[in-house]
Amino acid sequence: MRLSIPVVLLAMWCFVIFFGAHIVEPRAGIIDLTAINELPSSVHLLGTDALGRDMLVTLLVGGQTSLIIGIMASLIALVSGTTIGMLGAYYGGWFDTCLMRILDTMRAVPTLLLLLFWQAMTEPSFIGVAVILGAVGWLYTARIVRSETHIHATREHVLAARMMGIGSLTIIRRHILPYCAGRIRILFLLELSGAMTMEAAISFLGMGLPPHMPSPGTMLAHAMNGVLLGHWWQAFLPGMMLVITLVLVHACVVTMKKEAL
Amino acid sequence: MGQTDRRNALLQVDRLNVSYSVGTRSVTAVRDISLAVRAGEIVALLGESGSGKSSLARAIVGLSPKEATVSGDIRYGNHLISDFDTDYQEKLFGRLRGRIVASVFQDAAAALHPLMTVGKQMADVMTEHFPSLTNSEVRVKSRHILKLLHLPPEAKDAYPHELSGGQKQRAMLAIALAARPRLLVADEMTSALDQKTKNVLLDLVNGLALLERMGILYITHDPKEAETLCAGRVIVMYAGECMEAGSREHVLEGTLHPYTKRLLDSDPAKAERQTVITAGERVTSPMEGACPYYSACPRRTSYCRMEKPFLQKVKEDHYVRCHYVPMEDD
Repeated sequence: MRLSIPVVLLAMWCFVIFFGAHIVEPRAGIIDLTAINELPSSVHLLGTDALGRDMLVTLLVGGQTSLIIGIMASLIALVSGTTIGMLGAYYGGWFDTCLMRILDTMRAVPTLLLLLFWQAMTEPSFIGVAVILGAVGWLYTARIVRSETHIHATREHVLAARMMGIGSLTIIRRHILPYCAGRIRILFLLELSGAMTMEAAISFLGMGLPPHMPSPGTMLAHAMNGVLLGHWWQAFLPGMMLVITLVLVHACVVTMKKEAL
Repeated sequence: MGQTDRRNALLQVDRLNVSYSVGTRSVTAVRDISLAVRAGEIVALLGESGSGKSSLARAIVGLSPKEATVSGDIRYGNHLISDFDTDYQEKLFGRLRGRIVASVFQDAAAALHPLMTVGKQMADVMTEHFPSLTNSEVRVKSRHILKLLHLPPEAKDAYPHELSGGQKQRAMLAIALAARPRLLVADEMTSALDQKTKNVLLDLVNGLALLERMGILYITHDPKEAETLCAGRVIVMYAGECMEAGSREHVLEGTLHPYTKRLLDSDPAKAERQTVITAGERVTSPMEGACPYYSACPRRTSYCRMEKPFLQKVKEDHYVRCHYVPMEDD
């Protein structure tokens, strides 16, 4: 992967969030009822929310939460999606058919509905949200990896490897996976942005992270009343946070696509 | 071929048929082919493009495409495979491939993994079949095989694109030989190479049979290669059927079948009596009940259209499928 501008910017952005969150961690969640709904000032650089919590602190910690959940969810989605897609395509037959019908069934249900349903049945928690977002995300990955595997499984050197008696799993690992790697790298970023958006959406609806855990979604939910009272920064800042991250991620996808083609 | 010979054979193919069906259409690519390869023996399978050579080669190693229907018996030593398309035979082939039988295809450039060094690909095959091998043992064995094939030791760390055409083909051979198979199926191995490189490879193949006692099924379209190789037996295929088979002397020097004669005469080196096999002669779907070579045969009679000849024994170790061959009185 070449160090293109979007990749460097995204890395810097992530560093700022993780490093900043690490520094301000002790001040997270401190409620100061003497300083509610304050505009940005020298004490509170980005103002405060309706409970007097510092917006900068909440933003950094929330941004970190959202990134970690996004990364965890996309890793889960990638590993399971790649495994299922590749095995299905390579072995084919009834195994592939079963997997693809399960996938179709899951894709037929709106993702948000599925997420809300699962969240309603389970206790809201950090890990839980990541796992559930990953479990929804693999559908897309599996489809793409499967079609990619179909292309590479008929390569002459795959046939030659089978000829030498190399086992199926070794063939998949050594002969097919390297060819799908470029596609999988792009899929990782797409899954990341998808998972972060979804996390914000369900947290906003109150079905994602527990309310005391800051994330752009929960912050937006808190800001709902504030916006009507003219406290615009309470909604604007977490929104921008999310937008900047997603724009950077997608800029990376665009440059990677150009590299791959 | 006597019964004792058959029992010693590394590979024995009995009445193998391969047909492809696409939709409702069905084409038979290989019809009733029988052959045997013993240790240290080279069997040359001769035939032009479309004669079913490659279909036969793929079927022998159990890698026929999904559209193909295979029937007949294939016997590797004590392992008999007669019921194709079952999980059992797939597993059996999986155990045989690499360890007992290996094959080399025409296009080495495509058959080598472009992202892995030759040494790594050899090591993969070795550890697949002998998981207990240590790294240093693998290194020693790879070096030995590279030396056997006259490849420089540096070839181990080379990626396929760094090798020349002949070296690629030898690298392919090195990977095929990594697990020390006893039988090699070489399908048009030298077709993409120049004459000099070709001769080097043919020498290597001869050496494998003579020194390493490997059985080799050498598939080619070039009668000259069959002459250069110390082939013990030659089988001539046309339209998926065996037209003439027997020892090298009988088939290549005492040729009886009109098709084999034309194939041998089409050699550009023998320009004075060269004949060109025209496109019209390459009929691959013969008339039902007629001699497969009927439409192109210079010696055909109306009898050839009515009655398909059997593969008959003309003399010891010489079989011909033609009505008009002199029979030896015995």
